[in-house]
Amino acid sequence: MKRLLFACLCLFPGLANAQTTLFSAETLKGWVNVRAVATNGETSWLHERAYGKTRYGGETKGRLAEAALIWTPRFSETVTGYIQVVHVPELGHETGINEAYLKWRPVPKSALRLSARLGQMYPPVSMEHEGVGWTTTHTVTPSAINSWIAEEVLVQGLELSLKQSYSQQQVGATLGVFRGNDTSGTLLSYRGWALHDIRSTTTAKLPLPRGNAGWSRIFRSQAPFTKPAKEIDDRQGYYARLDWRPSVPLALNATYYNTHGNPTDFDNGQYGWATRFFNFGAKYEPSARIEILSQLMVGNTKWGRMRADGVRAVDMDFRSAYLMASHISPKGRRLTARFEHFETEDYSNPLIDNNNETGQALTLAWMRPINAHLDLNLEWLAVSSKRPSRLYQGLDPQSSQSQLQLDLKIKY
Amino acid sequence: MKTTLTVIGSLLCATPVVAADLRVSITDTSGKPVRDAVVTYEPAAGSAPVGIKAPYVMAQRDMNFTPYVLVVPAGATVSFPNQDAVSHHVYSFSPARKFQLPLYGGGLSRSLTFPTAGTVAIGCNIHDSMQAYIRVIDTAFYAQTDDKGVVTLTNLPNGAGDLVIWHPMSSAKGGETHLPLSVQGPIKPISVQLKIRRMAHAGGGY
Repeated sequence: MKRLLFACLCLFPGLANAQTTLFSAETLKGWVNVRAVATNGETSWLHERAYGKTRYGGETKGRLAEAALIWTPRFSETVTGYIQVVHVPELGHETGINEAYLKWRPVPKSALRLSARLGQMYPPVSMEHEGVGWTTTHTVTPSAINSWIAEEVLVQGLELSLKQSYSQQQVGATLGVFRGNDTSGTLLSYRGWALHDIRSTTTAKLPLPRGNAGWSRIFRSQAPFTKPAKEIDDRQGYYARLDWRPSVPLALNATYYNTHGNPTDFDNGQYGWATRFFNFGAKYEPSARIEILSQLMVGNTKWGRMRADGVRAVDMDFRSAYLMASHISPKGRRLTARFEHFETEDYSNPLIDNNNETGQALTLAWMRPINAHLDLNLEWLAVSSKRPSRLYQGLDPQSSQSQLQLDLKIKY
Repeated sequence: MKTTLTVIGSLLCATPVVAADLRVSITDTSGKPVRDAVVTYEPAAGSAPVGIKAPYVMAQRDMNFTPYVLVVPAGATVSFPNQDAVSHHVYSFSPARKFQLPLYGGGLSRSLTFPTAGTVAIGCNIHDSMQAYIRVIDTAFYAQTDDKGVVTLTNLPNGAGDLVIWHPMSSAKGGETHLPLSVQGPIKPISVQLKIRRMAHAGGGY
C-alpha cells in the first residue's frame, strides 16, 4: 500500500512552485457549533451504549456540538491539500482527523473535466453534505443514509473523477480504490440506523449497544466499540459512481460500494465485514428556489464463517430512502422538510441475535445565515422505530421520540 | 375610444421611417421572457465599427462571475478583477478564445484581449459553480435582453442580412438562432421563441 501511495504521489506534478501557499487567510477555516437541545424518549446511542436513534435523547440542555478546523494548503496551480480536524464531545473528548487528502484538478483543455483525490475521504454518496468541510446545508441532521456514511464509511484511498459536458447534457464517472473501512457495517447491524451529525475520524471509537442477550453476549471478542477506519484483511475495497445531468433541471447518480472485505478476518477486537451497497440519488429543481432531493440505499453486510445452513454469523440486508423538499429565499434562508424510511433484515439467527429493524423519521429545518460568520439553525426531528433487540435492554421494541435543536454556528 | 386609438396607431405606423428599427421579443417555450439573450444583425454588405464603449469588465464577486453575459467587440480588452476574498483561476477552452488566467487573489485583476468573434464560455478551476459567457461580436447592430426579453435594434441599413439570436442555454446549435432578414424600410416586430435548457446545479464539492 505504501508503494501505491508513493506512486500516486509521483503522479501529482509540480508539488512545489511559485503558487505554493501553505498558510494564509484563505487556507484556514474553522467553526464552532453550540446548541440548545430539547428531546424526549430513549437515551442516545452515544451514551451508555444505548439504542437511541438520535444524537441527544431524554435531555434538555445547552452544549458544544462540534469544533472543526480545516487547512487547505495550495502546493501548485492544480494541487491542493485538505485536512479537517474535528472535535466531537461525544467521542470521548477526542479530537481527530476527519478527511485528509491531496486533490488534483488540472485546468480543463476541453469539455472533459478531470480530478483526483488521494487520502482519507468520504466516497461521493451523500447529496446532503454540500457545505464547506463536508457539512449539511439543508438540515442540521443528515438522513439515516448519510448519517451512516458520516460515521461508518470513511476510507483511505485514491479516487479519479471524470466529467464530460456535451451541448445538451453532462455525464460523469468516478472510480475509487481504498483501504480501511473493513469494520463498516458493525454499527449498522448491532445498533441499526440512526440520525445524527457526528462525523467519524481516523481514531474514532463508536460505542456499540450492549444487552443481556444478543451480539454482546455471543461475540465476546468484539470490542464494545467499532473503529470505522480500521484495516483488517489487507484487501482493497472499491467504489464506482455514475452521474448524469440532462438538459432539464434534474441530476441523477448511482454508486456501487464494496469493502471487498474478508468476512472471516479478525484483528484486535474488530471483525472484518464484507459490506456492499448501491446508492441511487436524484435532485430535481422545479424552480431556482426549490429543490427536491432523494436517495435510496440498498445493501448487505456480513461477517463470520459460512455455516452449514449457508449463513454467516451476521448476514443482514439494509435499506433506506428519503425524500426531501427544500426552499431557499433570496436572502439564503432555507426551509426544508424530509421524510425517510429505514429498515434492516437479519438472515443469520434472529432468535438469539436479532438485528431486524424498521423505522421512519420526519425532519423540519430552518437554516438562516445571519452574516459571514454566523448561522442560526432550527430543527425538529421525529423518529419512530421498531427494533426487537431493545428487549435485550429491557425496553419496549417500539420507540418514538422527537428532538428539537437550536444551533448556532460561529465560523471563520 | 378603441377605434380612435387604432386609427392613431395606424397613422403613426404610416409615418415615413428614415432608418429601420427592429423590435425583437424573445420568450422561452412556456412564454416567459428570456434575459441575457444577445441579438445581432449582420448586414451582408458588412458593418460599421462596433460602438460598445469600454471598459469591458468581467468581475468575480460573491463566488460568481458578473455579469453573466458580457458583450464586447472583437479586439476588445476585457479586465477580470477579483473582488472576492478568495483566489480564482479563470479559464476557457472555447475555440473562439482558449486561455487561462493563473490563480490570483482578491483585489487583483488580469486583462485579456478577445480578437475573434464568437462565444467564450468561462469558468473557474477552483469553483466549478462559477460560469459566465463573453459574446464577442463584429457588427454595430446588437442588443442584449433584460428581464422583459425585448430589445430594439436601431438604424438597420437597407439590404439583406442575418439576424442572430444567441443565448448560452439555447438548445439551438451553438446557442444561435439565425433568421435571414431583408430590410427595405420599416420592419415588423419579430417574436422569437427559444428552447432554453435549464440544467440542475452541479452538486458534489468532492
